[in-house]
Amino acid sequence: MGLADSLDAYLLLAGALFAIGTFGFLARRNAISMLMSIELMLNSVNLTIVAFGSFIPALKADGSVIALMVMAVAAAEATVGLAIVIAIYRNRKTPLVDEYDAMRR
Amino acid sequence: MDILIPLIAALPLAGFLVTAAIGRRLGKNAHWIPVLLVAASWAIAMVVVVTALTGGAPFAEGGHTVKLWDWIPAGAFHVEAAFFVDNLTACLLIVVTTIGLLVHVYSIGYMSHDPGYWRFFAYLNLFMFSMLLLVLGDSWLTVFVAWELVGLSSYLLIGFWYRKPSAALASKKAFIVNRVGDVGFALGIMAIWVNTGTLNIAESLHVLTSETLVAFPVPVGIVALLVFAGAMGKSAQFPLHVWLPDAMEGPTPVSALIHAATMVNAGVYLVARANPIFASAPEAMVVVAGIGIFTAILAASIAMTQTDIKRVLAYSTLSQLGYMFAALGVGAWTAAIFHLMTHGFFKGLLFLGSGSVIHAVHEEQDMRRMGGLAKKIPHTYRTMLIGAIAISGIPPLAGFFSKDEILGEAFKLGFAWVWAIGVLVAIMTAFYMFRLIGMTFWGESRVDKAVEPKIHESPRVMTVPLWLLAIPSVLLGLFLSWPGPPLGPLFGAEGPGLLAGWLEPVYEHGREILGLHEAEFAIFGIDGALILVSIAVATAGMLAAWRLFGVEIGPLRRRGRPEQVKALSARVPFLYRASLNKWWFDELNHLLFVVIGGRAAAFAWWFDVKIVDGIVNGLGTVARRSGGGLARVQTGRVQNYALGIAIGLIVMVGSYLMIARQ
Amino acid sequence: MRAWLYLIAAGIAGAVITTPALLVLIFAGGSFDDALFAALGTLMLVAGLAVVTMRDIIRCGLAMIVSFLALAGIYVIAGAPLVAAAQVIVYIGAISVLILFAIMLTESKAGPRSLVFQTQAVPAAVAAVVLFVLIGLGVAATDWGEAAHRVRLATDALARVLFDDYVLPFEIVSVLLLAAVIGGIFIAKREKEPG
Repeated sequence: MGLADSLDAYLLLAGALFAIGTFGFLARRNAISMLMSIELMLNSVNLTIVAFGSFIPALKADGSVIALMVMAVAAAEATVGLAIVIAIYRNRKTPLVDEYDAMRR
Repeated sequence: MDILIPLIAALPLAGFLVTAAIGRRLGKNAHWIPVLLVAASWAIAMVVVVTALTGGAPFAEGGHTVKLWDWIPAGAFHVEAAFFVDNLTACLLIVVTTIGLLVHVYSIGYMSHDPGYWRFFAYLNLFMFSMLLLVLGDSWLTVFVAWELVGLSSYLLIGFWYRKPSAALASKKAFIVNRVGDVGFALGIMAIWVNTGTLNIAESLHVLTSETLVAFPVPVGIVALLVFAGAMGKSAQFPLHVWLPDAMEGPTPVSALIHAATMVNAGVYLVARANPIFASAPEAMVVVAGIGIFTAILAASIAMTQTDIKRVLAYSTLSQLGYMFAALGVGAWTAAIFHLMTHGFFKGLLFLGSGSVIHAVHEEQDMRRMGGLAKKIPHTYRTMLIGAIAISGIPPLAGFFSKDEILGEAFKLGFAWVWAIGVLVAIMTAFYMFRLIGMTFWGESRVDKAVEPKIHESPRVMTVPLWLLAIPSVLLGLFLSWPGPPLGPLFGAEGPGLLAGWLEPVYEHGREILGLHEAEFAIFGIDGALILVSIAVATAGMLAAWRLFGVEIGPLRRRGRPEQVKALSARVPFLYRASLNKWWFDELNHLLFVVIGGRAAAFAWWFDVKIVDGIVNGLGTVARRSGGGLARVQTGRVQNYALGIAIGLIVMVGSYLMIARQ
Repeated sequence: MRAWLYLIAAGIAGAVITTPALLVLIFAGGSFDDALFAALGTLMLVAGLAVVTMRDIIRCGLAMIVSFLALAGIYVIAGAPLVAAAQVIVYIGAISVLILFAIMLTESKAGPRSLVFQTQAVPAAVAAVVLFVLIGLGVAATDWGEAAHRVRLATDALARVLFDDYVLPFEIVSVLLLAAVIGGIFIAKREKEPG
């Protein structure tokens, strides 16, 4: 079948994971759940990059390097995001994002 | 001369300003300054007039201009403040200043008990200034300014007793109806400027009539009709005649001065001054003649049943003005000015006389409560009788000459219908004038018993002007028409009449355009026949009035027959009622403008409030509501916004894919 | 009683993983690599679904860890072992722990299902599906110009590139991490009560 050897398979897999992550981001109420969904999305992007790096000859090692960078940035972003969520939780006493509506008209 | 001419107008203006400023403090002596200034103005005017009419320097054939300063030097639009005096102006000056002076003197007596004494003289002087400016002005714009000023003075004077509601309404009506005519006049002036590029009267007339092959932006006929519209308003021709009878609410000297002798003649003066324009547009002249003679017979028919002495005279004025316009319309311009001058004097006399009568019977104006006053107020009676004979056209008084000339010219110039209607009007004129005399002075006294013992003749300051006016009423006709027709050829004299000779340079151009020639005056031919017809109809009217209302002249004594009057009125009920109700014109105007106009205005108001404001407010409401609706997108929640981003992303990617795949 | 439930759950999980692998192997005639790919891919997606749909947030976190593990496996199949290792160390070892700590610090009672999802859950699901369809169309329609086989990357080649050509981004990323750490501490710090 050539699943492991077809670029399209990896890309479709990544796309599916991205779609799942999008749904979770848009639909869950807990802020931490939203962040977890973001991590899923970042991972799907990582997979895409690695797949390209693996199949496109011109990319050689660049794919992996970029994937590592993305990972590091994702870590940083998760740190700061969670710190913010904790700070808001302290203020609002609730982690549910649909109760953060002070900017409501 | 260059100093004297501006002084004629400047002296009354000074009188107005001074009296307005300090008049209240002068009290009973407030009349000295205005009267003296008007007298001085009269004297100077006489000097100027004599010099002009006898052809003395510097009055050349075409008249003399005195420039004061450049009023509006705005490049292509250039108007000077200047006075222009020619023979036509001179004739008008005679009438205006003389009657003005006599009315001023008369008012000293008539208004002596009035608390607004000083105000009256101030307004009178303002009026004199305006009227003089009107006849002396040399550009259409000056004439228009004076036109409006005269209207203003008329408004102030008609509503002099402003606390009386009817007077206030009447003055408002006069002003508004005048304004309607003024719109036409203003449009006419604009048309003249568009056509000729100049507002100087002499220049514009020359341009308008000499380049007959050039097509003007506004046809000359339209210009003529627009100018006539202004004249219609000021001179109260149909259908703008409704203000003149109501203007009788003002004091009688006002009626005499403004509404008999001067202001209402402004329209006649205007058309006479613009005669070349009318001559170039014969259709317009027919319109003028038609409206004029129609007004004449309309007003005469109303005068026959009115019971207020001043109203009869007002409708009589309307009728005579109609004669003048009919004359202007058929091309008998000299006759029109002739009638203007004679009418000014005898109508002024009649009005002042009626004022004296009213004064004598203690402010009673209804003729049904007068009668038998001949012995009690002899001066008034005699002068008014002279005036009545004059206006009826009985020779050899003034009215006969001028009226006969109009009718004769109308017939000879081919307007037989004008002549026929004019003859009818002449009968009616004689009839209602002698009805007035009969009801007022002859027969038994129907005066209120409480008032009767107090009837007294007016003071000399009022009766002297009456006699002074009676003299020209008798002699002016003879004077102005000698040595021309109709009496000249009878005695073998040759040449045109005095007035005709004066006015010939004024009308030369117009006559040329129309192709009129001086015909031989056939005293024993057609002209003699027409004269006999005029005399006959005037006498017939007079006799009919004598039969119905009595007569007491010298040995001739008849009693009036009121029962026959009633019987006659009963036989023509519709005509009688129509005449009594002034042919329901006021009701018609009320219906058209107040009721229907009011509805239209209410509709416009509704439209403005509901629809225009509705649209504007609706826009605001729509903006607000949609804003409110759209603002619901602002939930303040991040996930809702993220969904929006996701949808946007999907749309963009999807459309890109669809388009890129093509 | 509990133990049986866990055993059943484990059995279901195993079935979920092995069924597609077997299907691919037996019915689609794929190689071992393909079967592994199918198994790990299915595991990853199922775990991902679990992350976004489960009620208890701790269980969501644990499902996320499972998903990361499966992803690491796929990295290996794709020929990037170092990335797989980094995935395990960084994502599972650091980020997931971080998330679990945060969950601990922001406790909220697990409520009924209607409280789990937002009111816009249905449009969100539709959007997600549409997004996947679009990605799929884009992927299928494009000719990537790829090689026929995946290339396994040697670690020393990666090291050479990383510290030679990409040394600047590498250093900047380290600074970024430092900044993130400091920022995180500062934001999450408890405010000192006055007095």
